[in-house]
Amino acid sequence: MRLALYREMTLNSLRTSLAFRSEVILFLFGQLLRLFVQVYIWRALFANSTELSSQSGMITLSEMITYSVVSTAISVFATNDVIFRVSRKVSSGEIAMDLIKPMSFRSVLFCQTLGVNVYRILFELLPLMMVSLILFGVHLPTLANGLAFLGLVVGGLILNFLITYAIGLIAFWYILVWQVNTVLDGLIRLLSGAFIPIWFFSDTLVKLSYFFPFRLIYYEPIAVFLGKTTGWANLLGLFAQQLAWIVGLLLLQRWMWGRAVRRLVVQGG
Amino acid sequence: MRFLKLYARFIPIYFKSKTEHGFGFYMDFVGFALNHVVSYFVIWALMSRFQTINGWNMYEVMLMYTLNMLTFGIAAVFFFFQMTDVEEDVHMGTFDSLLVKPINPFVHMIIRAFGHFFLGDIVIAVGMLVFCFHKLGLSLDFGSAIAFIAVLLGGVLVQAAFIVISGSACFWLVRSRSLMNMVLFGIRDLMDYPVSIYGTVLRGVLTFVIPYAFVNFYPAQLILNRNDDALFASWLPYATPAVGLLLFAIGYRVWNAGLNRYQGTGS
Repeated sequence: MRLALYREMTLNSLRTSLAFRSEVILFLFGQLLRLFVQVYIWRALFANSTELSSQSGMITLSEMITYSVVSTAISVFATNDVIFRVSRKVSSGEIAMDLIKPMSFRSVLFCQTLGVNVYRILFELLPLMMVSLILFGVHLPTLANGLAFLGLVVGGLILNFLITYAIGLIAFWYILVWQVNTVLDGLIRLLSGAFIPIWFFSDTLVKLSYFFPFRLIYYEPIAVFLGKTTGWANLLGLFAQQLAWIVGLLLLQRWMWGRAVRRLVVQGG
Repeated sequence: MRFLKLYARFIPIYFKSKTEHGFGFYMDFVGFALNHVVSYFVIWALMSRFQTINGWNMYEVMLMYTLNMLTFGIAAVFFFFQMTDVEEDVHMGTFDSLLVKPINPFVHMIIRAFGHFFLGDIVIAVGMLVFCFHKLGLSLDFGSAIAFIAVLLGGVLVQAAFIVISGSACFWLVRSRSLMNMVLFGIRDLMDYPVSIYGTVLRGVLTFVIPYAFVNFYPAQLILNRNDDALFASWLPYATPAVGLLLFAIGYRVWNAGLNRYQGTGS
């Protein structure tokens, strides 16, 4: 019964996405462009050397190109508009409609995001991967690494959803959330390893990156994908870190939500 | 002259309507600017590990980023929100109000809004420009100052032309926001690093077809006196002001063609 509700919510959001096909072509083009830039930057940085030393041993150019491709693939899912959905709903009063739905506000948003992501797999990820496989040689992981990678990506995406949702809730207090979003995007760009892998960081930056959950969304899964992080102890450690952040964020949200709903005053409607 | 007088009337009204939001208004300056601060950190993180990219060092790369940001900021103050407003008007069917006024719609479009958002960018860009000049040991005498201003204006015109052209697409497509974003925040990102890192085809496209290389790469070559990595022809950096004027003229033609095409969306 409940499950059917969630399924409908997800499918609905999938159908809405299907209506904006031209936007998606542009988005896809944008992603490809960014990937191209990254590949060219790494080619230029490697110049004539075949491999460079890093915090995780020697790195070859083709490993770096694979890194960029996988990072782009993750970013297809990690760029969501949860923050703006929440703030739009709060500022327009639409949130009242969500509050009377027989499911939690967070589940509504989660299903909607899931629906968009199903769509993205079909129309963004698959084309992107096909182009990348043709144009750039991409390393494939061993089966074990690949499975661990998938698990970490799922964990990372849940983490990403919870982070954006928590920041979206700030809209109850401060409506110009896009500025907070800029800060978040900046931190992710710098400290998640989405562009520069943490293994090329200086020691201070590496330390700094441990204070934020962002490395668990991009860098750590990709390092597993490339076989730079192996061994049960290390992998379990990563999953444990993800879990700890997820639990922490859930607690934070319960606290924020309790205060937010009490503040909410919807005008008219 | 008449336009300046009108501008002096329009802008205070615009600011009055914006400052009503109080605190949020002042935060506008911070929001965009933060993005750039992060970009400098990214360049720093990357270049402190690798030292050079295609023979350009950290401060030279930062200078290029700054030129891109500065020329875009200046152009965006006068064109960016103005063009997104036009798109919104065309979409809502309220664009006719611009056509019935006794001013050239292009001028009216420019003077009815002001991109205060981008003033923060410009402040940071000027600060970083001074910083990079200092770190690179550059100084301007009278002649080079004139040349610097000329290439900067050329860059501003190129940026303005791209805003006008991509924004004018709304006359054909009704919605042009995603196209604008693609051109102004997607393709323009290609210029964050020296254009010489790309293959010949992309270099050619960025020089002759979508001449974004003239907003920072060629001006930087001129400012830094780099003769060793000239692309295509060694005189190209000097062509920046001419390219800017030409492209802006094309932008104006596209806008006019769009106006002729505009038929309203009903209502």
